[in-house]
Amino acid sequence: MITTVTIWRPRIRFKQPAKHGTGNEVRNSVSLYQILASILFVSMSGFGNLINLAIAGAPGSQQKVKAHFDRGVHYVEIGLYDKAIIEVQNVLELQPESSEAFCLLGDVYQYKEMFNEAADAYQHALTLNGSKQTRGIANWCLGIIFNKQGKFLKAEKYGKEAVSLLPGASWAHHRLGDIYTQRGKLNEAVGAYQKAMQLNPERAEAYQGLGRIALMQNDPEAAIRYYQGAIPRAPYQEGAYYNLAKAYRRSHQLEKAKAQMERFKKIKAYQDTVQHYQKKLKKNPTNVGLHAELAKIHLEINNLNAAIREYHILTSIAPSLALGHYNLGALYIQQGEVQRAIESLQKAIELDGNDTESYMRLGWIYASQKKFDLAKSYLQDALQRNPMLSEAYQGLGEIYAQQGILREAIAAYTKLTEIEPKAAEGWLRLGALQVKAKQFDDAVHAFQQAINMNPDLPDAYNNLAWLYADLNLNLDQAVPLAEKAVVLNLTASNLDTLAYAHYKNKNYTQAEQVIQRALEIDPNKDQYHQLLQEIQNARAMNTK
Amino acid sequence: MRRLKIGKFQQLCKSTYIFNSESGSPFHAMASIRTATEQPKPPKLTYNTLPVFAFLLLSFLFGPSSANTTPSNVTFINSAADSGLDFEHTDGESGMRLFNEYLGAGGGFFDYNDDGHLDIYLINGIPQIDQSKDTQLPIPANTLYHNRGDGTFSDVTSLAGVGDAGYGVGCAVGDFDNDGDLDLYVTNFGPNTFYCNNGDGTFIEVSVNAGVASAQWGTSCAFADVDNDGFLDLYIANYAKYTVEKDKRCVIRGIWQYCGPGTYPPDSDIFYRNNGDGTFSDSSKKSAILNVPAYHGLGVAFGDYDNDGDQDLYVANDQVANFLFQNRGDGTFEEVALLSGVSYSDMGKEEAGMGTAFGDYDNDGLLDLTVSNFQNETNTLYHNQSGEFFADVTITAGIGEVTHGYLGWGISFFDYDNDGYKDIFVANGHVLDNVVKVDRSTTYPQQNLLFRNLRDGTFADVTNQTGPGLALQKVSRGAAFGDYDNDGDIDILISNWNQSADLLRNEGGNLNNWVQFRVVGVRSNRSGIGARIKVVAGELTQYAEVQSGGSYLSFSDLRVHFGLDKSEKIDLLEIRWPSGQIDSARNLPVNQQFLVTEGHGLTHCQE
Repeated sequence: MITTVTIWRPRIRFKQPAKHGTGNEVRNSVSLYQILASILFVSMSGFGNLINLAIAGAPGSQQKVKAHFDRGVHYVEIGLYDKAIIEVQNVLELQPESSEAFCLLGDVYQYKEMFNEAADAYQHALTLNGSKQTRGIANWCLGIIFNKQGKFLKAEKYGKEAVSLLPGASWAHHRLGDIYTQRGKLNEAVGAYQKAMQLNPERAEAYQGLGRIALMQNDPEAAIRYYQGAIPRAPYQEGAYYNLAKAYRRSHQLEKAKAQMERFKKIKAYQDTVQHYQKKLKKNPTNVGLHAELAKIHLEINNLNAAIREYHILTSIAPSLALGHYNLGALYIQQGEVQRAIESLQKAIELDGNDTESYMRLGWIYASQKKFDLAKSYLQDALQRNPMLSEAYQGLGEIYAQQGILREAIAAYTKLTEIEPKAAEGWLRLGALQVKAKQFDDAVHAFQQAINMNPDLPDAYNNLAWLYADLNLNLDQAVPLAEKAVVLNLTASNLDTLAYAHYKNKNYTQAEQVIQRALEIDPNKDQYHQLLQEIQNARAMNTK
Repeated sequence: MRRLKIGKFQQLCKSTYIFNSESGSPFHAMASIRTATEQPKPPKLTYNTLPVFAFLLLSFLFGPSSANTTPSNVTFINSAADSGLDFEHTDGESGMRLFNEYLGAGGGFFDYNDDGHLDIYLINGIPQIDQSKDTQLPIPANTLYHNRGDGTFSDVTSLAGVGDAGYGVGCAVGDFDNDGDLDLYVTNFGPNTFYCNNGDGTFIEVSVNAGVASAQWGTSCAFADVDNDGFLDLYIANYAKYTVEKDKRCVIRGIWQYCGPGTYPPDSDIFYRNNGDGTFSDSSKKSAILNVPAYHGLGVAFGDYDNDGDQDLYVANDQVANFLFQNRGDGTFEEVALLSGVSYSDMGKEEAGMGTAFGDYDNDGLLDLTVSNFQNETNTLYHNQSGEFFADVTITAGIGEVTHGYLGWGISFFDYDNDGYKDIFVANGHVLDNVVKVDRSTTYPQQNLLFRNLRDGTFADVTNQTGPGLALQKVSRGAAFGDYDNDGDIDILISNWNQSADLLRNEGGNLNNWVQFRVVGVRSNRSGIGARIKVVAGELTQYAEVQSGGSYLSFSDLRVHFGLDKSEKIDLLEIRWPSGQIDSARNLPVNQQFLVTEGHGLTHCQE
């Protein structure tokens, strides 16, 4: 059968901004790691709730407090900590007894690696009349700081208090597990990690903690299981690969150990590069070029979330840079965050009315949402600005195809192949549309062109074979073409075509054998059963 | 080639046990043949000769004795001042926080004049910036202290000719020319210095002639006979490519601090192969130690971790992965740290490796490994699982929680209470003189730590139960170990940054029984470095190697000391020499020093 190729894969073309900053750099000795960590932390510790609590405590100055708090959190997110401190101070002027503000201040100091000051802020927050949640977070943060400083008794005390105040927070339990582990209290640590896992089965740190303890207890098999659970949940943390390799080594699975060590090296190299950029960004956190380069590094290893975070920071520190919004939109498309992608791309267009690629991406998005008129409008806007934009024709072609307007769809793809005559997939799609429109001669030409442009494109061979067989045209070529498709890509569909070519060539024995193979792969396909029946009937007739 | 000679140490010995050699041992076939060396004369029999013991090749299958958590009654007293050890380290006191200042300097114990008493050598820095042209202050220099044998020392630096006035860092000793006395190698910020011992209490500087005057910034170094040809080779860890003229000023959060290692590019280490004629060749490339990237090297330890009869090498690097060079047996190495589990922390993170040491803390016949690291990391204890890889047991052994808050340097396994299980000492001190300005949780001077082996794979922090010597809070760097007062327990020499050195005399360690062996190689290198000694006494079976390096920038007594707990005799002594030869003896008395000569016998030296 004909493979109806839908080239409906948004291919993200990143544009790299200039390597160096925009000139509006702010001197700030903070690292990107902190920025990323802050985003994670903010989401974990629920600053949204803190803001609400802070506002609830100050009905007379709600809007001002909220504005300062919002800005403070935003500055934390993008790593502009000194600005965040000013915002916290503004909150404290309005609400001097706000434990939430002191908590936020503690966070800022943590990200500035001023741990003593951070501890002071959290401890002060605990002296104020804060909510249970705020006190839980302050205790949790103090546990982390004291654990980092090697004051494990204190860390344990605050970690336990955090867990009692926030019993449903898996992150509080896993941190307590870390503290117990560091103290050598392995049974307690196991309990804490298991509780964290129970509360959030996706918490990779809990798996890692349990794996670490299993290794300490000389149980490599258990360690292997835990690390195999940790890696898919946090694929960019090198420690899990390292310890999985060690667990394999200790269970005498040397080859697996070596393979994991290679993965460890790859992830570690990535993390080292990230750290290298973090150091640069520590000196210059508003350097747009560095953020873009770092995002690219994240993308090279498919760490889409980290790349998005980077562009989120980039667009915050350089909000008038259309390119930043475009790339962020493109990343959101890749992540499937359609609404955010639309917002980013529209922002890019707002900033640069000639950003053809943003128009085009929006057109594609709306097309995928079946908002065809809007989609066509954006695509045509794109073509108006750049008539050679082949992907816009592709989008239009698909829209018309979905609307059943074959003539326009064929016209769009014809235009595409004029602009990009070497685009094999364009020829393939054009041929498929022409088959549908019964323009068989043109379709044959299109499939032949597709093969010429890419001799390894199985669908082109398959489609041409089917067409020849179906049209009883060049029947002698149909079988070798279909065989080539099968060699390049062994699928039930391609086997079906080969069987059909044999059938049309009256090679019923081969035809039956091949369709049986297709049925082994996909036994429920009615079409294959139908062809089998036709073959068997023809064979019977032929025998008679 | 110098003549082999019998030193004074041997002349002091009282009685001789003669033993035969086991030349058909599994190790024999591995030994390289050393040619053109004269056999040393067997030590002279002076007093009573004990029975001759037959040679036996025995298995190493003794298990550990039961756990003993009873506190020992050992205290350490700082006897530096009382004993005349008046050394004061200086980093040059530039006031500029120069990058090369904070590593400090080392020192060590060795019997330079072969009189049976451990002498002390300490390394010093020098002023690097001409700040006070008018003053006539003497230039600081390295200092050699002669042990008078009565608990006091005298400065014999000038007499001995070892007062190198370079900017000193580390040191190691070994008899590189197999002439029966210990030669001294000093690493500097600037050209290193090599002193050849003349055997008469003086040294001659041979750095250039011997081909070891590397001008790189050397740190720790160690001798070992890597190719088992009977001559000691030399490994030197190097730190960074740095010049004072291009020193950078590092300011973190507005506070001027010493720069971290990443500020300057690292430099490759060096491996010198001994040519056997008084010279060395730079064999770094040939030995394959350059197959790894250049890192900031600090700690060096040799040991046969895989029990295959040749010396392997561990290098602790600052803020990057550490190296484990497995000796291929042909004078070349393969770096295997990653798959052996000793590159990184147990979370796969680099740590600031400082000092390191091999030692068999659980008496299973396999050398374990320890590494000192930065504050907010932990020191690491690696247990040798099978001779192939190590398990990080830092936390389960009880080392992690205590060491997390300290910045460790000199480190070693040693049995301070003679209970037959090796304990761990680590010297601590921060690198930032103004650290309290950025971190109130720590201090610049720090207490050193002593961990007692509880015989069950765990350790207890006994620092605060072992006397005033361990209560000191200084900015320590190097640590060396040896029984300087020959009383049967191990004392500690500590070098401190810009401070006086400490000599921690062990009081009470000798309440348990002990034995010490000084080994003399014949086919093997004369210092016997790399010789593996097995001692069985009652239920205790212990193993140790004669080691030249380890710890940090320092060298320790080459005599091998075993605590014997309450055992009244040594049932079996077995020595596997680097040559492959195995010697053994039975039924030796305890609380003795023995001189053991490869293939000839052992001499009872001192009670």
